[in-house]
Amino acid sequence: MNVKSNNYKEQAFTLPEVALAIGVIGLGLVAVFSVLPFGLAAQKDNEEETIMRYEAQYWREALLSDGLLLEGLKRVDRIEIHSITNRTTHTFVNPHRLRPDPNALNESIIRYEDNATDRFWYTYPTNSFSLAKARKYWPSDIQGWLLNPISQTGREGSFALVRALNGSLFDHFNGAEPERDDYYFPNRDFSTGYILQVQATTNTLTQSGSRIKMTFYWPLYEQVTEALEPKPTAVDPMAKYKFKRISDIVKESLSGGDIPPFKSIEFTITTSGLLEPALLESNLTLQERRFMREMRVLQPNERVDRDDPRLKGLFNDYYSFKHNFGDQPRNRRMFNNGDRYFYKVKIPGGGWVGIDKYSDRGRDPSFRPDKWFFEFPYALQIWGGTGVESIVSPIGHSGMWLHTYGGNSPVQIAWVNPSQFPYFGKYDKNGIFSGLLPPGLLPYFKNGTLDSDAPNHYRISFLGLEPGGSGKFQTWESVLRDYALDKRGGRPNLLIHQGGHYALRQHMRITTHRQAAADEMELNKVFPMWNKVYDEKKVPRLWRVVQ
Amino acid sequence: MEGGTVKFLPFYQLRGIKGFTMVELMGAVTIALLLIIMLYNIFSKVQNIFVTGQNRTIAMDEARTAMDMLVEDFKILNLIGDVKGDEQNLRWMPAVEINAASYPLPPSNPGANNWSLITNATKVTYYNENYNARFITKARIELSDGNFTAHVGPKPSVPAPSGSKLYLYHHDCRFFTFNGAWKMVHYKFGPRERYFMPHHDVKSTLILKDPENLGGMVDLVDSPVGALWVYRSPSSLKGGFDGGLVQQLEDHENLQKMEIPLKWDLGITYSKGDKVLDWIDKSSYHYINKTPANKVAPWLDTSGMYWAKMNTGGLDSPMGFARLVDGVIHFRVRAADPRNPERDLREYTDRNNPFTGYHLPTHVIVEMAVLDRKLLREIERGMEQQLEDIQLTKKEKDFINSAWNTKIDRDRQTQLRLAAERYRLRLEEINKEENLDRVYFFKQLIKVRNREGAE
Repeated sequence: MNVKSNNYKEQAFTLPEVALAIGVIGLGLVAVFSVLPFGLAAQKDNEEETIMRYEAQYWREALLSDGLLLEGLKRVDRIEIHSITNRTTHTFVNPHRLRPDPNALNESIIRYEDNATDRFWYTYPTNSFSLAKARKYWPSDIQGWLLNPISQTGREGSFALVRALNGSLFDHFNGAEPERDDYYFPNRDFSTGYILQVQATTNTLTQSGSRIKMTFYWPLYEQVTEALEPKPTAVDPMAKYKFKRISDIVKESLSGGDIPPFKSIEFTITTSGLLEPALLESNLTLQERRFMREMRVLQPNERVDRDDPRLKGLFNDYYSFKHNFGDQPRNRRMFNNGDRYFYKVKIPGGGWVGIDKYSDRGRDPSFRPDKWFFEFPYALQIWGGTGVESIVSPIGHSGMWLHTYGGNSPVQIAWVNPSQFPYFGKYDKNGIFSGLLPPGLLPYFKNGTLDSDAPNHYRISFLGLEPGGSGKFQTWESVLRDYALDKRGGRPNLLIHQGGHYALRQHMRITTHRQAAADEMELNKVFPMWNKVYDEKKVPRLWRVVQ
Repeated sequence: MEGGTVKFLPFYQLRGIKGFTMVELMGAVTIALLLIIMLYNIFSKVQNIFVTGQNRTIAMDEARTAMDMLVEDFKILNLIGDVKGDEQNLRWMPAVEINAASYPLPPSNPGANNWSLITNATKVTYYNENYNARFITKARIELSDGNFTAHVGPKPSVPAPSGSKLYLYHHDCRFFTFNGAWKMVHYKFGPRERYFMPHHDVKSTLILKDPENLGGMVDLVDSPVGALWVYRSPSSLKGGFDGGLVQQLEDHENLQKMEIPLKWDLGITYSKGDKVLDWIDKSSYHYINKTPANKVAPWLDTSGMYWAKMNTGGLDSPMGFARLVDGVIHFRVRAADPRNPERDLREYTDRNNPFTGYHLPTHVIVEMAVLDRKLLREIERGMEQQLEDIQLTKKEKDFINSAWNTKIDRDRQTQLRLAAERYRLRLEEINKEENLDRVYFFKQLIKVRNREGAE
């Protein structure tokens, strides 16, 4: 550049010079601005990694918690488990999301099964007890499914689609479970979400413990959310049923397909505990289920003690003619006119009234309904104050035995309906449950139609007849000894016998997603008011880490 | 310019010189201006994003540090060793759930117990519509309805999902840890500048042990934003209630009694050296300088009275508690009782706390929500002008005049209600959608590993 100041023909910047200068400045600016996104991206990466670390910390404890009901897991949209034995992929969708079956709108879809060519779905009635139970136990089901060992699922393990628990409130709110399938948060796709892959394995040879690898994949790009949760449109209202499998999305991302590569981070949990299938109701007989339900108040390894006040209803027999309420006698009686049963309460200073007309029925129950196990009545919660479940023992009467004073054999209570009416059944010598016994077939109380008749009295005891049809009566020693044995047919030992005492080995896990037990199948067939237990045969098992 | 000199041409010589015309120059200047404006906009936006990111990083960093500390402490939660079960191994002190309107409000009649406004009742019903005062609602932050819509067709009429709101909790938890040595650890949500609420009856030893049962006057609370405070006792090599932990409890109570000034009240007999809170400036206290009993308010007593500013956290934090993280709006602790057949996590009051004797929780869940620094400034200082102008409704003023007889009582009631309104407006500001991205929520599940001696 040459500038002269003493000539008429002063030279100014030429156009190429100016262009060059602008070009240089432009390049400089571009360089400066191109660095900025890196800084911002680094900041964002840091933030996301912090969140993922927190999520991992939460998941670590959740997976090892043996079925704790964590309300945070309501943010899990979907669980996917592959079964190598029947080459099926099971997808459980969040049961809190009402996802109507297009073929039956009052049924809600809770599970899909994909085989090599087809997709099937399973539903429950929208207002069913099964769906309510599936919602309540969704957190413990998630933990159990994700712990399926890779020997069952294949090397890929299991997957979960999750909206982050930690992060900004914007993310927290918009990532909340919408609870309806037809409604949604438009900003949900912007909230922090991730795919969690869990690969659990146990060293069965050396019995030296388990390893649980958790891999987090994020962010959930638009293509990912669109593929995993296609939104229904007016043109294609069925779009939402055509979702892709999570495992396929991850594979596609890793193999450089249409899905951009995910960021990922791995965490491994090593624990000395072994993986084992969780104990479910379907593994147990009616009586064993009663026992394990009452054992909810104990911790694993805690001693099963007959003097434990929390278990008094289990160990102490109930006598209908010794029933007290508020320090006043309120005796109970039953009679059978050959067609139906009558259940009555003696009111102090008054006569006998039917249980359905007894005003204190809510606080002073007769037979305790099975439903109370899942939904404890408010009246009893108030009455019981703290630790209601400990005070109201037993919490239900199904599985216990009804003994009468007429010299008849005891009969087992199969079910108590929400109105506190019991129904009876029995196992035959082959262990087959014979179903409900209509009142006309039960010999009890037939001769005692008068209110004052002693034969109308009864006793409820956990102990009844020995299985196998020998007619012998059970003793606590024989029952507890039996419960401490590992039995074939899927029932592990319920108790541990140590130092002359029995201790609880593990809790029973409640889940909707299991096979139905023999007695439940009978009740399903016979009694329409019974809350149907679906017989989910192919469903993946729940697993736990023994602590 | 040559040889370091500048030569100026005479004006007539410039006429022939070919240079930029005025139009060219104006064009160039305009383009340059446009470029500068564009660059400024870009720069400003980048700067904003950067500052937002930085604030976010700082807030997350602070909250993360606090959470890590909480996690480490709860992991080693242990027994106090009081076999009789009088002291709880994990205790939720009163003042649990905050009710937006009622928290800073006075009771509807002068005789009612003010403390119950901040106890753990799920719903406080001191005020109802008959007084035309304020609805009692639980303090919460939530997404507005507009954020929930239908895939196809009209907007839903169903309520927004439960997860799209956060009820605020301001928990206060005390427990004991063992990690080679025993400690008493106490985390509490408190005001930003000092850890306690001035209270009438603080001189009583009962107040720290059983505040729920005592009446007292809660100071003005006009913001949902506070801080998380922590106290860790010195280590004790001997555990057990009789072995040293009970001493730690007493020491902590004494530290607080030394620090928490008394509220001035003619009904209280003060001693020389007692600290009394300033009537106006709640961050200052006065020493009673006369003996024996002094019935003159210290700020009216000119005979040698002196005042001091109270500690405000940081390095010269009070001994009773140290501020762990500022800008907290939510702090909640729940625990899993292994005997709870429902297998969920709950908070417990003194009346139903199962964690006594040899009983410990298996897990603890901690939640915390923290504002970023900029939002904190905006809420606490930026709203001052807006908050100065607020007025009570005529109906509310009439109610106060009819219910209270003395000017002092009426002024106090007015101040309390104005504080309630400021509280509500601040909460509303935090709840604005553009601000939700500046509040960070953390939730951790902690397994209690240290169960030595527990059942």
